Amino acid sequence: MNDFTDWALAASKYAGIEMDGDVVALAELIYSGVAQQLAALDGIDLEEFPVRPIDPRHEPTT
Amino acid sequence: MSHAQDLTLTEQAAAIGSGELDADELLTQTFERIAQRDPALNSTPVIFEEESRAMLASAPRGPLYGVPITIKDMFALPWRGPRSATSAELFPAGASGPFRRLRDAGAVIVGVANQHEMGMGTTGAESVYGAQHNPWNLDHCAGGSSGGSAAAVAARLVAGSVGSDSGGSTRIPAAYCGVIGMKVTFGSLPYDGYFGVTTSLSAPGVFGRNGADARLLAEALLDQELPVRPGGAMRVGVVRDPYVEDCDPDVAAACEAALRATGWEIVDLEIEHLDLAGAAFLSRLVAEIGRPPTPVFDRLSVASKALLLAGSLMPATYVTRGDRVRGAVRDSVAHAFREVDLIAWPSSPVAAPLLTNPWVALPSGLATVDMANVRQAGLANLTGIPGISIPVGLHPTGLPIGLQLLAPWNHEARLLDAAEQVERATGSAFVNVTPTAFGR
Repeated sequence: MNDFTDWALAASKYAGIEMDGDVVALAELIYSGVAQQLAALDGIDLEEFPVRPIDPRHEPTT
Repeated sequence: MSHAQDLTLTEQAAAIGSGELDADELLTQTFERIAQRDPALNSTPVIFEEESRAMLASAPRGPLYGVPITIKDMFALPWRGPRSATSAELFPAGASGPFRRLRDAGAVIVGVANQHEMGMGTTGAESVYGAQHNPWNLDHCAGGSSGGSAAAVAARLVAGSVGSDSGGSTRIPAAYCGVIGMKVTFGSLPYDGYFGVTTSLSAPGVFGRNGADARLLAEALLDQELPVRPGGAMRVGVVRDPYVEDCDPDVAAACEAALRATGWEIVDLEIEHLDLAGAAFLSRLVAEIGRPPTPVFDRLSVASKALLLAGSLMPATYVTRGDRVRGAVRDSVAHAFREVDLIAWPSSPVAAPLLTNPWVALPSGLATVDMANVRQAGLANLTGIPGISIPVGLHPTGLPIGLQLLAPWNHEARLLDAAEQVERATGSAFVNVTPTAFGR
C-alpha cells in the first residue's frame, strides 16, 4: 500500500463504494498523468489571467 | 437500383420526396443492411423496428422525411432513456431536445449508436455492448466516444447519425472511419434529455458521408438554414507546434496536401496561451465527469472506474486556475478569428490504432491514444466553437485520415462550405467511399 492507494481506498469507502486493486492501480497511473499536465496551471500569474465571464455559447465580449 | 443505403442522406431525402424511393422500403432495407453488416462492427447494438415504423407513420413532411438515422446512447428517446453504454438508463425516457429536432424534420430513428462507455474514451473499446470496430480494418478501433455513429455511416448502415463531442468524440471517430463529423457550437440547441447537459464542454455532433449530408442533418438539428456561400476563398491559420509537427508524418502530409489543394491562403498562426489550453481543458473535463448511480458504477469497466476515481480525487484548485486560462484562451481564439476564417490541423495525430493497443507513437514519444486525441480536439470544447473533421486521405496502413477545421462560434455553415470545397479540391476521392471491409 502506498499513499495514493490508502487515500483512494479511504475516499471510496467514505463514498460507500468498493474499489478493487486493479482499479486503484490504474487510477494512480491516470491521476499521475493528469496531475503532471495540470501542474502547468500552478505557475500561472493570476494578474495575467484574471477571472473572466465564460459563456461557451458565445464569442467573448471582452 | 443499388441498395438504398448506398445513397447519400441528401439522395435518400430527395428520392423519397420525388416518389422514386418508398420510405417503408428504405426502412426495410436499412434493417436488412444492419443485420448483414453490423455483426462485424457492433455499431448499432439496439434497433427500433417497431418504434421507427411508428415514427414514419406520423412523420411530418420535413427535410428528412422518412430518412433513417441512428442516435448515440446519450439522448433520451420517448421509449428509452440514455445509457451512455452502461448497464442501465441514466436519464428517464422522454423526447430529448435533439430527438425533437430530428422528429420534427421527419427523420426516423432506427437504432442506438454504440459509444465508448460514459463517453470517457476516444477508442470505442469499452462499452456494455462491446467494442466498436473500424469498417476499414476490423482489428482497429472506430474511435470514440461516438464510434458507433461513425462506423455505421462509413459502412452504409445509415447515411446519417447524431453523436456528441466533449473532447473530440465526434471529430475523432469521423477521422478514424473516413466520414464527416461536425461538433456544433456549445448550447446551440436544446440540451434537455442529453447526457452532456451537465458539462460546459459537450455539444451534439452530426455524421455524414459528405459535406452536403452533414449540412442537411445539421440544419435539422440546429433548426436553421446553413446556406452555402459559393466559392468563397478562405484564409486558414495552421498552428504547427505541436498540432501538426507532433503527428504521424503521413497524417500531417495528407492534411497539408488537402489544404494546399483548395487554393486557400494558408498562414502559420500563433494563438496566445494555447500552451496552457490542454491543462485548462483537462481541469474542467475531470471535474465535470459525474459518477453514475452505484449499481451502474459497480458494473463499469476497470478503466472507467479508474478514470472516475482519479477525477474525484483531483484538487478543485485546478478548476479555478483552469477557468482563468479558459477565459484567456477564449479571448485569444476570438482574436485569431479576426485574422483568419478557419483554424486547421489534423483531427487525430495518428490513424485509428488497434483496439488492443491504447498507446500511440508520436514524434515526441509514446502517448496514450486518449491524451493524444484530446490534445488535438480539446480547444473546440474549451472555447465552445464548432469543429469538423473531413476525410482527406488514406494512411499507408489503409486507414482514413481526417483534417480538422475550427470556425468561430455559430459559424457551422462556414465549416460545411469548407468541407465541400475540400471535397471538390481532392476530387471527392475520400468521401462517400465504401470501406475496405465492405468491398472497396
